[in-house]
Amino acid sequence: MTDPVVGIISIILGLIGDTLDELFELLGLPKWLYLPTFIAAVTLTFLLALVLDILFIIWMERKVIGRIHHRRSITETGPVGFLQNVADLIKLLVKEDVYPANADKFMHYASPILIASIAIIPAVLIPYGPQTFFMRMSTSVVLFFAIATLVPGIVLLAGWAGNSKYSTIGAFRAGLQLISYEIPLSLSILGVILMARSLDFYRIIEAQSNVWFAILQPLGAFTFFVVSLMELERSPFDIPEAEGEILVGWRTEYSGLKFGLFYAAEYFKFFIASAAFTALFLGGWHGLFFDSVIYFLLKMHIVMLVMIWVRVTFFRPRPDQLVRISYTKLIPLAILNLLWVVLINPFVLPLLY
Amino acid sequence: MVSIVKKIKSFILPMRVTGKYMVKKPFTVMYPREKAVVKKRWRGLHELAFNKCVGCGLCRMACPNKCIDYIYPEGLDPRDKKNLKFRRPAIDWGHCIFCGLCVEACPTKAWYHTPRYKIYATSDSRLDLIRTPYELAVEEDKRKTYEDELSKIRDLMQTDLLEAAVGGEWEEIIKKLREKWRDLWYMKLDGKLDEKTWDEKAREIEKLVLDIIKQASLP
Repeated sequence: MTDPVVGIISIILGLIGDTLDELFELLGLPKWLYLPTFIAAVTLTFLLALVLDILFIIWMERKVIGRIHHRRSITETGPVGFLQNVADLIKLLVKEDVYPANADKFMHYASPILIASIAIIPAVLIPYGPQTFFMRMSTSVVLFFAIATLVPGIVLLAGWAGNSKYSTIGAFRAGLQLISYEIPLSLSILGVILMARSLDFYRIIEAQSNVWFAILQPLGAFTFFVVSLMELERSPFDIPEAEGEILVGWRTEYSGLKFGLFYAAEYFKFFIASAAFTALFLGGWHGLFFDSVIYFLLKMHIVMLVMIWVRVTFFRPRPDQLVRISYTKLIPLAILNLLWVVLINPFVLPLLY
Repeated sequence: MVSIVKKIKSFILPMRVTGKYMVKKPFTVMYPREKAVVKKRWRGLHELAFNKCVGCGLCRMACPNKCIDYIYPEGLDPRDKKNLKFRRPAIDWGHCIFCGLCVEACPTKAWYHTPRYKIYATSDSRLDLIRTPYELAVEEDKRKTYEDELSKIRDLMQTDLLEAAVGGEWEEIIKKLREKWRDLWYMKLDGKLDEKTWDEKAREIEKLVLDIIKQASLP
């Protein structure tokens, strides 16, 4: 059965194409301008969808945290408080632009833009459905994690450009976090790559058509989950922006739109990390009766829900405890998972593809 | 092996607790739109079964905040012990802590709590929080609504609730005014004053008292 979402997407693309056709005829614009305009229009449409989804995710996060605290959370703005995030966005947009004295002005303004744009790039590497993906390449997993690793570097830069002790401490804590999670991250995805025999997200998802990798290698899934929480800098691993210790860490000096961009980048990362978990361990688009983008999005949002759940439940370790957890618990777990994969690999071969 | 199981448990247990609360109904009541659900044993605003009351004085004795005092019906002499059973309690909700001791002490179960919880006063008068037995009465025929504050003060002048209501530096003044008023009242009951002069003289004092109460009520 074909994916119903593909039909909807093609209708949207057709609508954009038709509109542009008429617009070009009406204004008499040159033909070489058509392709860039079309690409820009499509990108904007999908970005709009992404932003809407992120508004929903923020709403869900606030609601779930409220419920766990036994209260109601946002209720007043819009239906069930849904428009509260839009109101917050408007507030961030109209705020005064402040930048600290003696700060590096160029880096101060560049880092929010860089972080938000780099954080969203990996989204194009993930295939969301059997026919719904932006690009396919044989090494998309490597590129995905290479780009994802860039973000903490920019965090370091942003913290330094804040010209404040809190942001500098936060930035170096981000660096510390990077060196502690990078190794178990690579080791935990190595098991998936070995089992699927491919570095391509598409092939990895195809390999899980019968059984998910989360079932075949639960240790790897657990390690990847914890490590992605570390990479997201979300509670319980929100050490670089530990409130109550160092204000808001590396983004202390950023306000208004710059803070908004950081906030957006955080949720882009959230989106991408849960998408990666879905693709690597939860079988991507595979579901009951037919394969669809709907399953991918559903699984992704469930992973997000669990991440929010974990965020409310556990407390933050100290930075040194984080490094200890990473080196004495997560790396051995990941290596154990690798050994397990090597052991069971010959037996699970008929289950794949 | 045991330690591994323990560690896994230490992850699952807190997740279970938070997960339980995630699906529970929130505790918050959206108050103006939703009505608060009151428990059966809620001690709300009082009501008085006027005909059941025997004027025994136990509720005043039980009251820890001294916010209950008695009012005699018109024309009855408080100095006559035979009239004790006709007096009825007035209550100052401004001082009441809703402990329920008056309800417990009442031998005839004339006092009781309703589930009502809304209590408020207009900003310029604390008089709204003091309720006379005629306002508290359950029985329709005993119930009385006061047209103005002065007629309510006429009833309340018999009680010591007014002093407590103003408090502070005004307390002594109100006490003296009430003593003056009581002398007039007794004179009228003895027949030394005729109805008209009593009314005029008492009204003068009551106006003064009302002014003081309004002054004391200002923030």
